[in-house]
Amino acid sequence: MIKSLDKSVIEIVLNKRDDFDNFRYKLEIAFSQICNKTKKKLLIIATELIQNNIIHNNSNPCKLKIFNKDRFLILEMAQTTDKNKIEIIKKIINSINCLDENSLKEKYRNNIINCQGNNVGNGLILCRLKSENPIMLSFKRCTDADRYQLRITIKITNYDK
Amino acid sequence: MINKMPATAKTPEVNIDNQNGKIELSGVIIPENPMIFFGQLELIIEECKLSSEKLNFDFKLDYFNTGAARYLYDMFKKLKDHPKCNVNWYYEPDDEDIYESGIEFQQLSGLNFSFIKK
Repeated sequence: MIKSLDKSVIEIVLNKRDDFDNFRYKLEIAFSQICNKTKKKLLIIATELIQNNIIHNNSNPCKLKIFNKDRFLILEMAQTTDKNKIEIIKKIINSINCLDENSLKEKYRNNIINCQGNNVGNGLILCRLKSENPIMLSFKRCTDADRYQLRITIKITNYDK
Repeated sequence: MINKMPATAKTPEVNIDNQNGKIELSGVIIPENPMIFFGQLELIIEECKLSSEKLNFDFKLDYFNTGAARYLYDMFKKLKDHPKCNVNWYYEPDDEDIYESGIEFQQLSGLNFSFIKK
């Protein structure tokens, strides 16, 4: 079913305000050839990652890349961020990666019930649940010492292959 | 009176029939700041309560983000105390995510949902 991804790479670049306002349309168009079940997972993960960037990273330009590798669909989100945010993201991802499915679901529920305000903190938990694989994080320093190039990689087990 | 709040790229279309206490939401709920949309929805619900003793909701959602999930939970929890509130939760047969979210909201809020295949 996911013929369009067998040989090609989907790349979505979000640069300006309008891109962030209408990112869902861009995703729908980019994923239109993908089978429903996989498309839904990609939409959920991409939406949460993009909105994390909007909320926590001042809508800095970001690039989303999706491609096939072995039995996985790989979704890579690249963005630049401040040095001080790297440790926070690293800590959050490590804490999520060490939880099993039931613990993740329980944490997700608890966050819904107990969190106040807009920052529920469930975006990356949902990404991890949907991908069924650990979330990977890599980063390197930009020429500006206080900025880092951050890459979040999410592997989705591709049951359609 | 029947009113309509048009859909935006990040919020659903909301159809309101105050006289009959009917509120229908269809589309996506993915705003970065859900407080604005849910604040408006709360006002709509309060107006409906003034015109009708029954409250009937039709949720025809394609997707909502994790931020909106918490506001939906808060809304359902408040609605639980309403004596005549009915929630219809629509889902596509192949959309487990929306169906399971409905089940979860029902369990967490204690409000009874009717599940309807689209």
